[in-house]
Amino acid sequence: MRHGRLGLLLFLLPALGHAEFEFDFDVERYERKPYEVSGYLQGTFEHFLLDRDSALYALNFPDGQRRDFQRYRATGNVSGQYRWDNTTLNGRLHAEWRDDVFGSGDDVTVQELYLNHRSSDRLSAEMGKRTLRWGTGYAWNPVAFLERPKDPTDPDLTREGFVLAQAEYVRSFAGPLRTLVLNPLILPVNDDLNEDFGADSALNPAGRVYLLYRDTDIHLTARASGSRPGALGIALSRNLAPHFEVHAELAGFGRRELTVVDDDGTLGSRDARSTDVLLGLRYLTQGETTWIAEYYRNGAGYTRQEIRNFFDLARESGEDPRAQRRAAQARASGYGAPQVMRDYLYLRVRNNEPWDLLHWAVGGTAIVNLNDGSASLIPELSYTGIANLELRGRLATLTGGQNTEFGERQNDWRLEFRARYSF
Amino acid sequence: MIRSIRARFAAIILLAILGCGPLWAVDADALLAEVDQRMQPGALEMYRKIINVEPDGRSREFVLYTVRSGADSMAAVFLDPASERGRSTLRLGDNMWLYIPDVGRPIRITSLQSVVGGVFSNTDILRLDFSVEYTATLLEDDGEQYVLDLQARGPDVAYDRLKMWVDQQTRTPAKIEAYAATGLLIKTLEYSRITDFGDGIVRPAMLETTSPLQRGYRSVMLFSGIARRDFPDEVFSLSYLPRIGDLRR
Repeated sequence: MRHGRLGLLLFLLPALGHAEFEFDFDVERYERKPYEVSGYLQGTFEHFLLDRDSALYALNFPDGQRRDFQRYRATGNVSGQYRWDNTTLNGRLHAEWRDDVFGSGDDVTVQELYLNHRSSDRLSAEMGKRTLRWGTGYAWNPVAFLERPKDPTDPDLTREGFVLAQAEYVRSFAGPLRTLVLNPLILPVNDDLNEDFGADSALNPAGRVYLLYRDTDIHLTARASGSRPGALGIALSRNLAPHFEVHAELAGFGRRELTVVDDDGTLGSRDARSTDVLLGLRYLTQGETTWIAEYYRNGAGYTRQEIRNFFDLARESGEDPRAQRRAAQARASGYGAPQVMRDYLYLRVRNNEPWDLLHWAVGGTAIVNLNDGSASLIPELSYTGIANLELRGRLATLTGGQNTEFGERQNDWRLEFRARYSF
Repeated sequence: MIRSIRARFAAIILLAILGCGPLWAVDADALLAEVDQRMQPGALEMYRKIINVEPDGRSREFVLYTVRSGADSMAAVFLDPASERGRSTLRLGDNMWLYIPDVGRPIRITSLQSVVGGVFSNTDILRLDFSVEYTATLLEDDGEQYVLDLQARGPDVAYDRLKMWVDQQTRTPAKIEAYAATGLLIKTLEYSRITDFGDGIVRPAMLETTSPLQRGYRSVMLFSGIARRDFPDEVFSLSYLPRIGDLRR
């Protein structure tokens, strides 16, 4: 009898397999609703192994006792949209709770909240808090004049916008110029609005022109002098072959004052009028491995002597509280920004389903400081085998000798596990 | 006078030959254009469900809303699953971009990549008219199907050569084999479930793809809600990518 049931089951198995493909497709489920809500919940665990000989360890841990620490983070990111007629209200809320050796805290940020109104197919206007994304680069965007800094080790993270008003005019053509987009805007700064964009109150007019000309993306960007110096930029992108894309950005900035640590450890400033350059490519091999390589020239970046002076000051922090205050001030004024020196190379490699491992991806990111040879190397592994859940593990290691940018950071390595559930 | 009679006689013989042989009677490029017209008749909108069936039997589903205009303009937005929702892709001729809501900026992608994994590449998902990318030659006519050999018009096309079996009754493809320039078979696409979508649109509602390069995998595309609809050219621009989903009715 048992054999009979087994036989019947074996007989039915192919039919069951076939039944799997009798798909239904209920299109009515996907009719447009007036509102949409989506987002993710994320938990992150990080373990830091500290480099007790480094300059930034001395600044962050003046007592010199700690060897390692853990950080726990819980993040929620919710996006919503409500539509009526030709107007939409869009918002994105970011909430984070964090606990580590420096203490616990939580933070809720409205990353975006703006109204968009389309008066025709070609013309629209927006007002509110909006995150702009200008440029063609992956890790860096020198022409992104109205954005908060991007983290090149995780460039896809959401970022907070600024309050602004902008218009957009789009026109399509049949000739070599296929698309034209005009995008003027203002980003006002005063004591109550966008105060972290710059100290001086100003309207900060800016704009972008986008052209798709002979299969090449061309972005022209500009920012008038106001709360920040004036700037002009151009960004290009083009597919040279179905598997090979190249991109470039060039940005020129007006005069600005840069905080520097002098040879005697005091804080001074120097004038900087810089030109930033980005050259990059994206290449897909036959084995489905994607390579992204970028060279970035930070024209106003610190020299090796200027960064050495900062590290010397940071090392004094443990013994001299005044040095600690100056070093913390220098860090807040510019030395704490990512990629503060002049020439960098970025390399990212990613292969989906290596060795036929379903839902796994393996890859790595390297950021090399070409001025001192130090580097950040981040191998990573991710798994997406459970619907809407992504698990990611990364090991961020830092290499470099004394007085090098990555060699003087507070940790030797950082191990990170992240789970993200999308809804 | 004699020369004129000879010329007329030659013309009659030539017409008789052309009239007798079906292989001679079919203009392959015109047939391919007709296939395009039946598969994607002008400006339209449609919904597609992609199911990637994995070697262990598990499957993963994606739902896309797609709009199309002219011969080389197409845009699509993911409606499901939640982890992909809002991702949009745009194709203008040989140019392809991907917009990821978190990143907020369209990036250029390559046609050979796959934004959904599985056997379908971006080219399969954002397919232009075959006649835009290929020239056709008739290989065979067995009375039920025509067999066409399609050669890529330029190096930017994802598959160098296609062999297409066309159903003579519906003038839609029944099967396509895609080959690399080396002659290697990259994938096989099989169409089925001929469906009347209304408004004169009669075409397959299911496409199944396998690849000898990805053994054990199978990808299926279901078509639904195909309807004729005109869109302004401005819809097919990078600026509009975040709003493609708003076009749904």
